[in-house]
Amino acid sequence: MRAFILAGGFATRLWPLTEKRAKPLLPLAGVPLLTRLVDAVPPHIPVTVSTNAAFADGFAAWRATMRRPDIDVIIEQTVHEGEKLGALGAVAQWIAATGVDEGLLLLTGDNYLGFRMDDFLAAYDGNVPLLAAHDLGDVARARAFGTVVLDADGRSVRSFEEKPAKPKSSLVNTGCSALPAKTLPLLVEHARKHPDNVGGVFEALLAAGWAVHCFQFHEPWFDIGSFDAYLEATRALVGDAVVGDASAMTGTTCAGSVVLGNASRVSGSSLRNVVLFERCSVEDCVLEDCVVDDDCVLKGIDLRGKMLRAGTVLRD
Amino acid sequence: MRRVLLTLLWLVTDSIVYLAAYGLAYGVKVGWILSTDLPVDTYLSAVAITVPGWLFVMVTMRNFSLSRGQATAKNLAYIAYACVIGMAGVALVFYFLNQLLFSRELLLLGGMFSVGGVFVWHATFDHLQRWLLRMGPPTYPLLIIGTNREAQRLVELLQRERSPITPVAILDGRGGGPKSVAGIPVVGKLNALEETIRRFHITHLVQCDQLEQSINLVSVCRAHGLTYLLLPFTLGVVEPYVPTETLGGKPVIAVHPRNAWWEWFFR
Repeated sequence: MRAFILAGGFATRLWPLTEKRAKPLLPLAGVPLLTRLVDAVPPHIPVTVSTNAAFADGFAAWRATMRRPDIDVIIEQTVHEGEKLGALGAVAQWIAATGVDEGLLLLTGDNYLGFRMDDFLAAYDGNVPLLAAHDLGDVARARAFGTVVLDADGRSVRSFEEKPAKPKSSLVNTGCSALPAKTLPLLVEHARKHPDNVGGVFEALLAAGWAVHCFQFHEPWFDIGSFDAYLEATRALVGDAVVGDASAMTGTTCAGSVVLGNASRVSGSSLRNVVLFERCSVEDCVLEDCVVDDDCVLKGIDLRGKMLRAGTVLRD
Repeated sequence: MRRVLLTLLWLVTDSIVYLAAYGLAYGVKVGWILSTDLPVDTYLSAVAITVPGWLFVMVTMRNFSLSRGQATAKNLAYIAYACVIGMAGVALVFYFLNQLLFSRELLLLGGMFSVGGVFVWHATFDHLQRWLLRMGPPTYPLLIIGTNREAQRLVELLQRERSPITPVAILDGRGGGPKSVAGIPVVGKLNALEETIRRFHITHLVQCDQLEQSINLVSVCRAHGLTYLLLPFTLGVVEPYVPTETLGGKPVIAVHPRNAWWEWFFR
């Protein structure tokens, strides 16, 4: 089995955090999303990460931090959103180029998966495609995802609809699936017409008569697609705590989730649900529900619900 | 460089128009046969000495600003105010040099001709300057953030006015909008901001949407040395006149209630 992680999206909704950084490399509670995913993949499964040329340097730097030797980063030669191959297109291109004939563990790089990958792989029998699904509990929210309707056995997928206008279920695809080698030709064929529709592979498999199984989990899952989702994920993982070097904060009150990046310093401030990336300097500020990118300098400023671009300097 | 040269030319020609206005007043009042009671060189020397001071007043009133509509009543008022100060300067300088004053009617004529002459020259020069600044690659390429109707109205207005601050590209922060607005291409979303700034050599950015990103847009402008502009509509301010005032010394944007016209005096 090989693992393939899709990390080539341009993540426009998280601008400016994704101005010079791919979304999978966004730190979540101090650890890049991609690192969390890769660390979850068992060591016997080689990992391929697919990204685009716009973020090549960032991924090279990330690769250098990873001790695991079997990580291959492949670069799609696109620098604009309009040029990209599409997520499924990138997988298909890789399959065709490498002649892969093993099962595929397909992961989307901007998802946080709270379950144990070993449990997921244990549920995979090697012959039937398996997707991981999470119940959102809200049918309306499910519109933004691929929705899954199960058979009475609670395991077999009866139907799959990608981003339906009227979802029949609040059970959604979470960007983690295991595909047997026999299904790869269908994936490649489907990618020709729908290069950006990863979830559509399951619709195609079901239409072609394949059985598809569902691994339903209740642990946390986050699709980090927006500022609100990023903050929500941080709060869920960190809780009411401070992550980072607490000694770098002086005369500061914290509430909710606070994440302090490397070499960031805070003094005389009040922080509530704040994520500071690296080398930030915050003095005499009141920040709430904010994400502050690298190298920001804030002094005497009150902010709420803001994402700050790297290098922002705000002094009263 | 284009703008610098044009501004220098403007200052020089303004000085000539100002001097010529007072010269014309002399011809009209005193006559074209040079007088010995009021020698023309004595008179024009006093006018010439006041030129730098008058230009200083004109500059500080932003009468040479790119964003100032030159052929407008408001600009006429500003020019008139500067020329009234010029008149006072001419009278004072003449008195200090010669220990006497000259004809009040001559002074008034000089003032009136300078107001009219400078205003007409400003409108003419502005027309020429706009053409030159928009020629070839525009001197001041403008990037617009947003594709809403206000953005469209702004683009159409700037095109109609042949503004030297020339819209060249639009970024649609929300996506899914039109591919172009009034002929100006929508080149992407905010993640294309830095690349767009480089590609189009942007000098000005106007935000028409996504108020939540204003801090980041200002930050980008600071980083690249651009001028950041905010359409007041983005704040929900639809009034045509939105002054920047001060409150306790701090600058604030003021939106006053629509009261009787004379009430502005008591604010």
